[in-house]
Amino acid sequence: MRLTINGEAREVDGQISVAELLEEIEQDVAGVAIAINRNITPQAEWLTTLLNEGDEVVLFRAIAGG
Amino acid sequence: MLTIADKTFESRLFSGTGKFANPSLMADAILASGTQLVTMAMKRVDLNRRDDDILSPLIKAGVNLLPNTSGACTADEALFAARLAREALGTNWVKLEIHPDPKYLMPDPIETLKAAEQLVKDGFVVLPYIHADPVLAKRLEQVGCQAVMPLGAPIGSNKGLKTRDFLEIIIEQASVPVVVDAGVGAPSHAAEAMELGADAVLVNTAIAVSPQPVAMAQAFQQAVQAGRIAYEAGLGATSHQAVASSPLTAFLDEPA
Repeated sequence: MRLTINGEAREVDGQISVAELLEEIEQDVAGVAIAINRNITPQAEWLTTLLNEGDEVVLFRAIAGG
Repeated sequence: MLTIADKTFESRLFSGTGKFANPSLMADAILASGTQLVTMAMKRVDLNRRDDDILSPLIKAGVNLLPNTSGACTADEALFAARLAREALGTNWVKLEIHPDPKYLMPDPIETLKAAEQLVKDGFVVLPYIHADPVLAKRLEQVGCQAVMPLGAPIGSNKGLKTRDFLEIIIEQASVPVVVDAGVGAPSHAAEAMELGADAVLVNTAIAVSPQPVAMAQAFQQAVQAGRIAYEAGLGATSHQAVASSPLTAFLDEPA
């Protein structure tokens, strides 16, 4: 199944959850927020939200700033 | 003690987390400053790189986190950034900052007011970053912002309180705390803001880019304390002409 993650195309096996995707791309979850097709998916729903073909996933992280 | 929304602060110095040479130095400076509130930004993760972990040292330091919406050019973008930040950090506090022009980073008043109104409705504690416009400050207060953050001078300029006269008006008229944010380039600027009656100041660049950020953080802490004590003690009136400190007796004249 094809997804876009932060602008990069990616192939994933079958339907996976948001939590599984994060594990697969080896991204730390602290301070992270995720939007799927411009809708923010709350952390409480990461285990249960399944990704679909063509989904545009964007990961954001809290970083240093003024 | 300073109260903003549901939080009280002993320190009236807030700090940014940007521009430090590394997270360890950032953490040391933040500790040295005594600050209890620091700002952060939200960014799209670069999947090919490991970002510096700055969140762990901040959580360890026990400071309150204030995510900003820096990067947003419109109210809609700011709303999106604020909601991301709330998810990412688990706080409903947000520093609303919308500055589309990259040269001067002046905050857009119209987008800011629009976004503030919606964010307050969405349950955020909104601290809007604005030019020192007394009318705008009042409008933001009226839509429910819990503080206002007028600038002293452009972000990172270190120019001090270029907006001094208007900060005075805002401070006089505000019913919410006033946090002077941006352009505070020296401890003397911070003290000046506190002497005017500001409730707090937010400093980032001046501490982070100093060759000795820890020492500079301490200096700012002391300046903010000094300024506040002076304000509460009551500053003397200014006068155009001299007012003698001792009686003007003619002690050198021969007795008649």
